[in-house]
Amino acid sequence: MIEIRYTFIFILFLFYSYVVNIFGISSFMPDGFIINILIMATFLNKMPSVYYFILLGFIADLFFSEIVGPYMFCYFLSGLYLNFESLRWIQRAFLEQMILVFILSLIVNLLLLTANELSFDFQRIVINPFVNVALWSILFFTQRGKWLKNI
Amino acid sequence: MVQRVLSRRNKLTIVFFALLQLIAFGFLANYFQLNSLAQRSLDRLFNVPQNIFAQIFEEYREFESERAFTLEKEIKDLEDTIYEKDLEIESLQNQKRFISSTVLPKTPQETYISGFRYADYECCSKHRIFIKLNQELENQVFAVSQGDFAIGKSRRKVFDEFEVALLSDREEYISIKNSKGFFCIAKGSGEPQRVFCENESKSGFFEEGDTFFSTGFDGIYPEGLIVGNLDDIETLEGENFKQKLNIQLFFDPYKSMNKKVITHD
Repeated sequence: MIEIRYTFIFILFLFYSYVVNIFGISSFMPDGFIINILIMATFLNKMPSVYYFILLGFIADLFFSEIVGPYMFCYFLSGLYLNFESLRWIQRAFLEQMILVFILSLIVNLLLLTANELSFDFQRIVINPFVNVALWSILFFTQRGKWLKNI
Repeated sequence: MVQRVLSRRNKLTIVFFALLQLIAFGFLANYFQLNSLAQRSLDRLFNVPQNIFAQIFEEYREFESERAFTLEKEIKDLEDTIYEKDLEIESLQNQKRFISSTVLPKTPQETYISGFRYADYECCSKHRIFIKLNQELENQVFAVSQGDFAIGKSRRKVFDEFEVALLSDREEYISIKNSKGFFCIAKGSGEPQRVFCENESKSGFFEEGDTFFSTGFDGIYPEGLIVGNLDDIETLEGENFKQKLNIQLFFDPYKSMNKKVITHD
C-alpha cells in the first residue's frame, strides 16, 4: 500500500521533469527526481526497500537519460543510506545541513560576483557549492560519532 | 523515530542483491534499447492530445468558413512549394562552386520527417529527428538528406521509425571538403546548426563564406552533398598552430517537419 503512494509521487515528478524538459528550462529548475528523493527522506515515515529505490531510478533513467545509470545509481545510494541508518533524524538533519550549505554557498558566490562586478563564472557559482557540500559531507561522516557522544 | 536495525550480514545481502539488480536492469535496457523506446513513446503519448486539439480546431474552422479554410490550405501548399524551390535554388547556387567528376548517387527513397526532439536540440548535445520509411533498407545505418543538403545519419530503429542523428549532434562526424581542395573531418558541436573541424596546417585553402560538401570518404554520406558555410575561423591558443573552422549548417530542423527527405542506402 505504501508503495502505491510512493509510486504516485514519483509519477508526479516524472511529469514535472517532462514539462521542464519540453520548455527547455531544466538548467534553471530543480531536478524532479532529486526532489522526489528529498521528499521520501523527509516527509514520509516508512522507507521502501533499496530494490524499490533502484526500480524508480531505472524508470527515471529510461525516460530522461541516454543510458541507464545516473538516476538509478543515485536512487541506489539514497536507498542504501536511508535504509541502513538506524536513526532517521540523523538523515533529516544531514539533509537540512546539505541544503543550507548549498544555498548559502550559492548566495555568497552570487553576491561576491555582483559586488565585484565580475562576469558569470561557472566554476564559482556552480562547482563551488558542490565542493562545499562534499567537504561538509566528509566532515559529517567522520566526526558525527564524536558529536553524538556530546548530546 | 527509530527504524528497524539491520545486521551486518543482512546489509551485505541487500547490497549484493541490489548490485545484481543494477546490473540486470543495465543489461536489459542496453540489450532491448529500452531508453529509446521509452523516450519516443513519451513523445508520442503527449503528441496525441495535441493532434486531437489540432484536428478539432481545423474541423471547426472548416465548418466556420469552408472557403477560408480552402484558401489557407492553398497558402500552406504554396509555402511548402516555395520552401522546396528555395532549397533547389540554394542547392544550385552552391553546386556552382563545386566541380566534381562524379555523379551524386541517389537511391531515391523519399520519405517524410515524422518527429523532432526539440527539447534536446536547444539544451543538449543530442540532436535527433525521426523518419518513417515506406520500405525496409538493407543497412540500418544510412545517410539522410533534404534535396542536396546533408541532414545526418540513422542511428537505430524505434518502433516503426528511424532515429536520425543530425550533423550537429556531438557524436556525429562527416568528411567534408570545399571547392579549393581543403579536406577535413567535421564534428558536431552540440549547438543548433553547427559543426566544426580543426586545421593544423598553415597552408589552409579556405576563407569565410566557403561552402563545404561531403567527400564520401566516410562511407556513409555520398559525395557532393552540401553541408554548410564556413562562417568563422578561430585560432586556438597553444604550443602548436591550430585553427577551428566553425561551419553553419544549411539544414534547419525547425522548418523541416513533414517535409520530404531522401535516404542514401
